[in-house]
Amino acid sequence: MGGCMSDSQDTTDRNVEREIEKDKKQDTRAHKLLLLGAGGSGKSTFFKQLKAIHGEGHNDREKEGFKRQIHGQVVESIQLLIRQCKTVTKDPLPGIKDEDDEPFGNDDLDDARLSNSLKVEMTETEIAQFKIAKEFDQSCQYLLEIHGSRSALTEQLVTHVKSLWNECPAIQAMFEHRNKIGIPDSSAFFFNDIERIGRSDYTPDHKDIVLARYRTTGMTEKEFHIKDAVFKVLDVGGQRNERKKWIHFFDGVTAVLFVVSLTCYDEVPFEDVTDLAADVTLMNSMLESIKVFEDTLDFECFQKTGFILFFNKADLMQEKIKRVPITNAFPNYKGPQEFKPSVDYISKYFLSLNRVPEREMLLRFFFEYVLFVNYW
Amino acid sequence: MIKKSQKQATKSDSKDAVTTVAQNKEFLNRIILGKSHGNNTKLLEQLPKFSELEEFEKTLREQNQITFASVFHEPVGNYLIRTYLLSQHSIDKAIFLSDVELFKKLKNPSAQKSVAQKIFDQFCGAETSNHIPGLSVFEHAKNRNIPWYIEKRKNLAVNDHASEGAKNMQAASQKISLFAEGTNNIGVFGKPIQKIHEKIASQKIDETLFDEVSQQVTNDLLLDIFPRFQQSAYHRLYLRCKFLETKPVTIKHFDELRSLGHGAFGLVSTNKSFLTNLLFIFFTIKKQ
Repeated sequence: MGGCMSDSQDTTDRNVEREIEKDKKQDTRAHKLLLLGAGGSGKSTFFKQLKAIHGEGHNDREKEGFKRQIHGQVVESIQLLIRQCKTVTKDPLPGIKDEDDEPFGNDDLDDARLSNSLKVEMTETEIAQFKIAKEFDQSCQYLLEIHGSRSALTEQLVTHVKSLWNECPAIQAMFEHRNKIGIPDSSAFFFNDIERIGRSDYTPDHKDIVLARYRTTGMTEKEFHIKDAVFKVLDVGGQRNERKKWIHFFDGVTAVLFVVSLTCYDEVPFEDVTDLAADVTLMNSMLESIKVFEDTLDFECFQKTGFILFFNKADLMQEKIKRVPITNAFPNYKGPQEFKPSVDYISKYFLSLNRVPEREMLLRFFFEYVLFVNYW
Repeated sequence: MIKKSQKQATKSDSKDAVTTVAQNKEFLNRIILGKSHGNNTKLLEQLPKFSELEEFEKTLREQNQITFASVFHEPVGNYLIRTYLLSQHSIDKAIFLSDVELFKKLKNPSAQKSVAQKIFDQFCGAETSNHIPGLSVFEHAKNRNIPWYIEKRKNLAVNDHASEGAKNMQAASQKISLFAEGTNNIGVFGKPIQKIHEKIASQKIDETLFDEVSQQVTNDLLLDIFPRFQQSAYHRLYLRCKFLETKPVTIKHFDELRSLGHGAFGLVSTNKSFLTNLLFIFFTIKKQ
């Protein structure tokens, strides 16, 4: 009996081994490219574009998923905006039993800290601009009561979002501070197009899909056949907790595609988002990107691996550089507050982090929509 | 050359749905149910082919039965989503959700307190060095000594890279931070976690304690994992299992194990169902 059991065990073992061998052979033929980068740098966006350009595109089932993601993004963003407005103006959330109303040690402390820092940063009139007018109370209440992204966009929701976005100056003012409260830039695009998105027969087009933003969990992989070469591209999550998993995917990597968002030098990382009083010069996603890049270069198994640096969101950077200087993240930068010298400085800085001179390093700039327009 | 590789790929594709799940099955059964079941190969033989199920999927979609909530709260769907999450190294999210659901059912204040503390330590707080992915809070209480399969899994990450010749992998993983130290495994940061911490410290524990965080975790699963789950082999397997459920149960679904005895009217025997692996007692009566 026992012998018989171990026999069958052996055959299954052998089968499994054979499968692994086969996989290994296939693995060596394909070039394995690993997409890395800090959270919100655009790894998945890049992956989606690759799929649209070199893959077979997105099928209906995937589009259904993107539709949900877009709806989720709209609801999440508007809820965040309302909540932040209420916290800043210390307006109790209407009709909702929120824990904030109860006197908790934590919240008292929080409020004290918040008001302290606000006193430094904001005057009364500045706070007043975030005050949501009484006439929007109903919309706010309705939107805050929605349970996350479980429900699709209903007609009622669309009208509420539309009125808040188009008519409420407080929401607009808060959106200007999106870098501190972790709202993606593309939310504005979806808010403006809310009517089209809310339609029941809506299917996302290519632009919508590329702009949709959601935190990736785990890893997605896809094989691309470009001319005669086979590329296996792995897209991973970039949030701090996701980075722990990166180590599982490091085996046999041909090249690392490291994605850096050019605009993130004044954005607070998603993991650190607290309130408007956050100081972007102390902690911003660019500093985090630099740290992550340094650590990635230091990995034992990457010492001979080529790196391709992708600087993403160059189009948004061109707009942003007019308002915010890059000295937020690079205090030593002395050049003019213009696009070209700033980007040059950033790219040189990243290249200088490489301590292995024989390692291949490539630079690529990536204009989110331009690349996309060229192909479609 | 490429043609050949594609051929191979499709061949292994059709196989992988069944084999991977079969391989994972016992492993997962032990983790999820805490029992050993053995491989359920007969179930897999009975399943219809996925290509025959297009119509079935359509009708299910029209009845709105393929949503995250319905799939996740159903035994087979839950099992398959967990299997998928395990392959994504994110199993803790699902375990957290089910633990919170169990926590909500607790009535006893002292039990609530200790469970809340445990859930917080295991999922919301910073990951500790002896953290075991995929272990529920309630499971931990049941068997204190860690079973072999969990030990094995802990070593898996290191073994994966043995081929690289990276013996110092462990040292490397300690050295490199990637800013990831002190994070939890469910991917929720900042204020919500802080709030829970304060509430536990000030002993204000009620059922809604984890609501905000579990909402965020559900969103992660719903918006990112679920669409990808639907692309994977696990979803196809889910549909196949689902289809089997619609069929009437017949004697063919059972395996006779042994007879328990016979009397004036007929036989009594123990039978095992392929589908659920549960034991049944059969009374067989002669037709006259």
